[in-house]
Amino acid sequence: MKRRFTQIDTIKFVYEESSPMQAKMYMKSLDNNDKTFSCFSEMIDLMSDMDDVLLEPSQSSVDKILVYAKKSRKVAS
Amino acid sequence: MKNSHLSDSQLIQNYLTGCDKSFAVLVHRYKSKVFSSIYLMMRDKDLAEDLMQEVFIKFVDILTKGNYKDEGKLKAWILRVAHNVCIDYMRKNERLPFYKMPDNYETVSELHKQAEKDAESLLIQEDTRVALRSLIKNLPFEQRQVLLMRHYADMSFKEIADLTGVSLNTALGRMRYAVNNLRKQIEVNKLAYEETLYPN
Repeated sequence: MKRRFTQIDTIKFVYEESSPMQAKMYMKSLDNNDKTFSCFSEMIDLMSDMDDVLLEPSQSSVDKILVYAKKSRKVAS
Repeated sequence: MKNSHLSDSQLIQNYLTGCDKSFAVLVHRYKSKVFSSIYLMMRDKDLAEDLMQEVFIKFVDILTKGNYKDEGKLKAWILRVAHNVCIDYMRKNERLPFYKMPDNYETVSELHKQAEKDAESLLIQEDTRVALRSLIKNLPFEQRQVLLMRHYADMSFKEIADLTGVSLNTALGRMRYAVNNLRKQIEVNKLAYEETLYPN
């Protein structure tokens, strides 16, 4: 009987947390099962969207950190 | 940046032996992930700026006191510190930017009500990145936590489960609900966007 892959299986596969055997079976299912493939594509799209939403902190916050790091290292050495 | 090809461990060593630029490279490497994680967790930009500084100051203190144990996992380590700083802040200020829900509770309608106004209008007016941020911010705290830890901090589900005191299956389940909620919300908002652009 063919194994049906759940959404948790997809999440584990995408985040490389499947065992090698599970990953192999999942890869096979990606080729042969449209439902698995569409679940996988949606997850990949979401991951790439997540990478796009990163925000930058203000330069003044960064400067404060760098000043502190410089002072602290000098004190420590 | 000149040192940007160096590993985290090399940069740390360089910093401790007098190269401040190496520390700047480390900050440059992780600032947006740390800042975004805190912002999405706390939903307040000014607070996120302050807490991000606190995270890096803690990092400096630990390094200069010789207490940093280098296991080659700085990203996970620093994002874990960011998470702890957020939790400490919430405890101290009794500010819980989340509502507790059963783990198996699908929150789409509640999320929709919350995110509807800002996310829909943002989608129409600006771009999908802004809207997605808004959707992530409106996820229940536990789902948001797992999503940010797994995606930005590269923490394994086992590590997340240990850190948050839940079972591995619960951590995976929370991720599944987070993914489902986001996907459904994206669909709902995309529809609203298309209807606005191309009314029947």
